[in-house]
Amino acid sequence: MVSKIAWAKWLAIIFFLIPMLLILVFPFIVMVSTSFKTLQEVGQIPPTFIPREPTLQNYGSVQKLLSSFGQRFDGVVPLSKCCVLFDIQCRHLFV
Amino acid sequence: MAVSTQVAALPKVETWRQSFARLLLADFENKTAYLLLLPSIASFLALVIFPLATTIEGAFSLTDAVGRITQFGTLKNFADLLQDSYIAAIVRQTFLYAFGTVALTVVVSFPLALILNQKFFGAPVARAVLLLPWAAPLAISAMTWRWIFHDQLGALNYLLHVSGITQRDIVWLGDANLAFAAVMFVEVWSSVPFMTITFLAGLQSLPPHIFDAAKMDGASPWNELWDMTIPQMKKIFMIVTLLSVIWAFRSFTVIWTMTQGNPFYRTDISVTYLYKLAFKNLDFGQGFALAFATFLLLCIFSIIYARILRSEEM
Repeated sequence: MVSKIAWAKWLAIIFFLIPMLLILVFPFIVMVSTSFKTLQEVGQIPPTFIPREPTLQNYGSVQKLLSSFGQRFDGVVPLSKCCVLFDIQCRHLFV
Repeated sequence: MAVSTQVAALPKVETWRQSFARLLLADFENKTAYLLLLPSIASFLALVIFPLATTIEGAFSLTDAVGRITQFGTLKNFADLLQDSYIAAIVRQTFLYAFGTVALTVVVSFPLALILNQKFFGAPVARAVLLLPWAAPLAISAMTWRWIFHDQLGALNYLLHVSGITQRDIVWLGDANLAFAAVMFVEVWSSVPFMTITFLAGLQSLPPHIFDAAKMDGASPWNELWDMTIPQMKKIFMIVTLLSVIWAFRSFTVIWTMTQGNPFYRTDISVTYLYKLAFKNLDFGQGFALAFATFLLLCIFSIIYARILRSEEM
């Protein structure tokens, strides 16, 4: 009986909890991976998950973010900047 | 009873002046409390009551193109709203969106909370990961989702291609039904953490000894779930569901960030549609009217919510 419950528990964890958690963190995986991509790679078809040429360029251009805040958040470049912005927020949150 | 005491204690009955003075004195003694409440009352008046009053006034007025009220006392806005060719679809979508997302969120969250309530290796990590969508500003995660749902650059289509489910580039946010499903999905995604944590808190507040007693009496885990856990969680269920319905009705960020109601108003709900009415069509009167109608609807839910919160039984 007890082992049956334990089995059910592990099945639930593997087939429900882990997929759900993956869906919950999925956008953050995309965000982090996009933030390390070059602009060319961001616009590449098909997309990549692990950046082929990881770059810290986006993190360096955060300074410019504030000046470009008036732009419409449309398209690719602001998105990667948003990712960077989010990353900074996260650091503020956790440090 | 009232009559007899009144007759017996007639000389001691205080006049309304005396009772007013007594109340005033009590207020005076509590004046520190009122002083401390003053900032919140002031901000409540300025930030809630004033816009609300303006909205109600505007709903019954004619307005010009910059939202100034030109003539008060008309029902034209509501009549126009009923004549609007999209309004029936908007109402249907609003209800589908609000109740659909909440139902889906409950269906996902309660099992998640049940699992997280167990002890297993990595449970603290799982609880921390669960809260991640909450740590991010909703507008940014919604933008990321829009990016994921992109037909050519998006990660979702890529995953579908790689796993061999389809080779087509599905235009998620271009097709009305798919876009609506996508928007609902993101809304569910964003509300799962709060609901799961609330359920988890509820589950952990259940007294453990009654479960031990039930086990002694030979209750199966299924019995425990259906006959003990869920009935005891009833109040939490109702509170969380109502709160989420209210939140879902006024949810603006996800839809506005992902689709802006496109294609053809098919992903609009009342809040985004009233924004369009007021700030795109510059028909502020109709916008006010729709806002007022939404407000009335939410009032009903709020009253039910307050009733449940106040009731001691259950």
